[in-house]
Amino acid sequence: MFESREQPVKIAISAMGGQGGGVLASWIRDLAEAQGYLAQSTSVPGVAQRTGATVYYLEIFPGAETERVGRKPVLGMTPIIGDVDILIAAELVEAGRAVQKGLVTPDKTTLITTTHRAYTVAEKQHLGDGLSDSTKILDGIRQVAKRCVAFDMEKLANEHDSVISSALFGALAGAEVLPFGKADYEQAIRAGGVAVETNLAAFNAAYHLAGQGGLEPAVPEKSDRLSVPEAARTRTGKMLLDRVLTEFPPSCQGMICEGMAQLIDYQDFRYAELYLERLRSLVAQEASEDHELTREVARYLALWMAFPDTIRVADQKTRSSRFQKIRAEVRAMDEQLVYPVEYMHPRIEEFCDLLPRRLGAFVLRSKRLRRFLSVFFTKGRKIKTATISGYCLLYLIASLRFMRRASYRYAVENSAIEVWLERIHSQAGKNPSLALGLAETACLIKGYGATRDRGRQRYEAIMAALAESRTRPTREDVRRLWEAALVGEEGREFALALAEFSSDASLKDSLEDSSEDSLEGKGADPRV
Amino acid sequence: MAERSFKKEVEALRRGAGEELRCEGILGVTKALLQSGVAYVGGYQGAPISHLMDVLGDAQDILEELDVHFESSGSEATAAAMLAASVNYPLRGAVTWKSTAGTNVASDALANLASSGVTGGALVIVGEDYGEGSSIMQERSHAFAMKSQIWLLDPRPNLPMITDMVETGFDLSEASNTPVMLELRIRACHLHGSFVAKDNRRPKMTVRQAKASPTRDTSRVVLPPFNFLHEKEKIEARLPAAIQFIKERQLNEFFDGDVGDIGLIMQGGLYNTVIRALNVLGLADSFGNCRLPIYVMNVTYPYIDEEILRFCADKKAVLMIEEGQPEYIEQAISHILRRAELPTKLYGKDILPIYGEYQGDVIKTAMEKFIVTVAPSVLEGLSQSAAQKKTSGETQVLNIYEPAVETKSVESIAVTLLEGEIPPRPAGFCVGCPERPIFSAVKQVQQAIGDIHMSCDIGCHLFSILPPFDLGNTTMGYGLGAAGGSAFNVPSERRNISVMGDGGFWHNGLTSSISNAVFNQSDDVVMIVDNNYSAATGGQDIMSSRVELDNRSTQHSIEKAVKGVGVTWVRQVDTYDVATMKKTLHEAMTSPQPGPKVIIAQNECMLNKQRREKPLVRDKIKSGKRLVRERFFVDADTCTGDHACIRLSGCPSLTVKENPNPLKSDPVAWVDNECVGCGLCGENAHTAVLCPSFARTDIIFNPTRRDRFIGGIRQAVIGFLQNRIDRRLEKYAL
Ligand code: SF4
Repeated sequence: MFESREQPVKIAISAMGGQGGGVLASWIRDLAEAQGYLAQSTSVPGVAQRTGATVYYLEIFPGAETERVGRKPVLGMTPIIGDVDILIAAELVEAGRAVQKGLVTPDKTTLITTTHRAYTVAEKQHLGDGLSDSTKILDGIRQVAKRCVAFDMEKLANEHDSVISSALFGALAGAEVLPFGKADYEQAIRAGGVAVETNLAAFNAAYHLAGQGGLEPAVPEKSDRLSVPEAARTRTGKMLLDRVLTEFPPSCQGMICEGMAQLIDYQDFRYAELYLERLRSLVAQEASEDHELTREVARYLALWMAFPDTIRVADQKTRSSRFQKIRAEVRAMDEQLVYPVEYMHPRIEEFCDLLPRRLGAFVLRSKRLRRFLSVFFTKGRKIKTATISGYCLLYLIASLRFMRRASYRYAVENSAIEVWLERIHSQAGKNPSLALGLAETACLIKGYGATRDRGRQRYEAIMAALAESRTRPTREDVRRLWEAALVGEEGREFALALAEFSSDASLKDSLEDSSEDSLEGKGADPRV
Repeated sequence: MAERSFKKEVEALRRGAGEELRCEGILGVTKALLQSGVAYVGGYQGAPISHLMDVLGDAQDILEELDVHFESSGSEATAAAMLAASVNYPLRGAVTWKSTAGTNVASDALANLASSGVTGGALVIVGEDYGEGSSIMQERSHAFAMKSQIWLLDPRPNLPMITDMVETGFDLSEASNTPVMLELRIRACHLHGSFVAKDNRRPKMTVRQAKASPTRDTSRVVLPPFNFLHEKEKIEARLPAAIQFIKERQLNEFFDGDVGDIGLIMQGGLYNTVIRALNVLGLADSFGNCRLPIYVMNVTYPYIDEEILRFCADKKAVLMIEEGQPEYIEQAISHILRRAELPTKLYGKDILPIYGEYQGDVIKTAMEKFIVTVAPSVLEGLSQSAAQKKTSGETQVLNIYEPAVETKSVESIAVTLLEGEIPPRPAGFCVGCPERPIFSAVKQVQQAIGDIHMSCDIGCHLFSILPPFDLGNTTMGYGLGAAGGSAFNVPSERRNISVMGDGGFWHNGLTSSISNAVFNQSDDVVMIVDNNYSAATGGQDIMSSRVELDNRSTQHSIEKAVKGVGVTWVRQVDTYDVATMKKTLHEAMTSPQPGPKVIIAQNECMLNKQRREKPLVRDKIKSGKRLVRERFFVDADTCTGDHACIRLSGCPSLTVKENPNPLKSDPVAWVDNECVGCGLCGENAHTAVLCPSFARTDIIFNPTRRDRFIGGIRQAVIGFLQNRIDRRLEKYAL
């Protein structure tokens, strides 16, 4: 009783609202109709168009068959699992979402996807690194697709001053899954009549890439091994470099060199030497061949020692390289002028940070002085760094570097660093796993103002909990704690994790009663 | 001005008989209205029929040429009440809204209209906002049809059928003196296809003519004793007339199949999806030829008992495919079969999911279950797995077959790989949205004074409930923000805040929320988000829009309106000014002045603003005029990687990228090139004392000679100092 064996081609577009999925759908429709096909497309606008995930669906059916049967076919409204011929994704997670829904199947679906990411709020709002793993997603979707054309189409579109729909359309043409020629596609873009030149350029570039297989090499794994510079650029630098090469195991050298370079940039050679001294006493203690502890301490020690104070911020904002970076990032043309306006909000705390140690502590302690001075620090300031007065102001602050070592802030940070190193030292021999955990907890110490205070509080809370624990905590135990500290600003998750750790610890305690390895370090607040 | 312009497309509405139209469902419906000789049209925007209102708005000229009166109704209730014109006069009228949200609002007028009955055809086009992409409570319009005795059309979703049903709907309405609802599902509204046009028809009687010679019939007024008469009329006259008409015109369709003893009954709107599912199973071809007989209900209310019995008579089992719950049709059919003592077994929601949208694979799975349960032989050789498994266990036909969950190995590996890596992506505020800063301020205030109960409304501002803001407790309906907070009108330490958009304010908010708060002496805080448009529905103009329009009266101040109903504490604040907003909020939370504290947060919807300004900017740059573009920038070296800025913003443009410092692993904040420089990033950096990594960059396009001169001097001085820094850096290097 069937009249026809012909099936429509089923195409789904998985995109974000406002990304131009509609334009792409209309190009495909116009293309098909121009080639004598019947085309039907459906979409779900509404709130989805406000940046949410959405799926456009098209079916196209050969007109010749329609004429033969003498009736119009019945075309579907939504994609069916296992019955999609082509899936086009305008963002990598959206490709993943389509795969998760089952819209991509190995026997049928050609997957055309960009590999770029547009991060979701869920990922971005994390207090540290909350991003999805693109490599995993790419791996997953490649395995499941019959054929996969994947490359960064957003980048390609940008390079041609166009939008991603053109690149996706080009990749679709290049994949040669539809029975249409390249010229037919181009005609659809021309018929659209908007930004034809640039759209065609992006289309062509994507067409060629897709034609060559269009598979991007997987992103290389990030490694914690940094490379050692081949030669030093200065004489003192060479001395330091030689010390690293002779006094430290190869597995640590790259990290230490990077740390050193950053500290020289931050302060001077003497500061880098202090860094080396601190690490040398540790490396001697570490038994493991890989020297992971030394490497991790090298990382966090460098970051901590280069604590960002007002001097540092001014220093970074006055460099010529920064001005170039801004121009590149805002895509300024040569003839255009670019004026950055910095949003700064120094608080009285930042001011005291710069004062000599005793004076700073005095002002912070004196309620009256504080109140009096606060008047000057209630408002945020906008500083134009590319005007002479604005630049000179920051230049001056940056040049206060010479008195940093005498500053209140330096004293505070330095003693905290020493307490931290002390704790690590005390565990390095006894419980290397815990020592690593202690080292990594320093990742909570970052940023400025409220962020730094919060990180610091949680860091101290973890240290205190570890000090109280009478069990033998491992790196994993500690990691659970600092990971929880990075989840929410309010700290609900963190409080939970702390409570769990303490109850776990007391439980283990009652079972084993092994108190010998308890942590000695005190949770004293080094700010006092 | 609406977000999307149909100025070009509406020209298609002039096409005459025999011409093919390729367009979206919405445009097709408009064309069909004109072909039906409609005399007046109204409605209230809301997805999925927003574009219908936009099309009508853009088609003003054409409507005028045909003497069709069009109003952008103040609310769905207004639109429904507008149909009163068809009670006394043979005027064809059509209105449209989003359902069931709009039908809820309209139901007062709708029920009265249904009681009165109509002389001229009255058609309500409802966009059924159910399933994927929906933004409202999941309910059915079907219930309204049943309770008020309104006929409900649910045509097969292809343009010829839909447009045809518009015309037929008017005929049915007139034949049975009953208003008719035409239900269009989300994807059907935005379905792009083609149909053959007919000539437009001028209304037989125009509204002007009717107005000029008024007639009245007291028995049409809902007042005793006529209200009782109406009920009797509904059952004894209108229903039989409708049934008669539906049968005669064969609005419902029968499709034959070679497997004669089982069959499918479905709502028309599901037809294409069912056929596609059967097609995948090998039981139908692409032209709808199907091995199972089908009865398609293009009219889902009233039910035509005779047709149902005819279809079921020779079948041992039928499956009712009915989307949404409760399963009204299935219950009715069960009742009809029972009455007639037909032994046909009725399946429905025992095989299909009870709730949720019936997308392709839902129906496919159900179809497999149904067939394997009642006639496994049909599937043999097609979908082997299911059929074989059933035949091995065989015989108890009454047990519903449950397919085992099988996943192909490759797919399951991939899906495991993806686990936890696919974060949700709900809709949210656009780049530079003026509503976002409001919630940045509220969040900061909340951080300072503790958690606040917040009663929300309908509109883009409802995105505040999502991360990163996580603000808001309930939403009770359009313009009901403050009403939803009214129970909390008791003395307390912390006032609660309710939010309402300008759309909701004019729709219902002024009376139900603001006047109510004044009357009941509420002390709480009401925030009215005034962004110049009914933005969530697509940027339609409203009372307080700033533009001047030819055929609408705009620029009516919200401030004056609330003062007019007795609010004494009113402040108008620029939404982007977070500092002032914070201050005003604090003031509102603590002010000793009695009565509601109304804060009007004013700034234009960025989507609309950009659409208006982008071309102007482009032209200006092209013609060589000086122009300063602002956008934000984050110093990657200075950025903490803590993302506090993102937790106060959520702007799509404020995103993250890899940390340039090899020692750090936290991604750093980064502003992409879509940034419109709304300034929120800077405001937040200041008001919440974030890190010093934010900078606004002023990019001067086509600098003047003076710009270049000053720029040159600045560059000379700064360059000199930068050279010194560079020299130091060369000395201090590894
Ligand atoms: S300034 Fe910030 S919030 Fe405003 S558009 Fe740019 S990135 Fe988005």
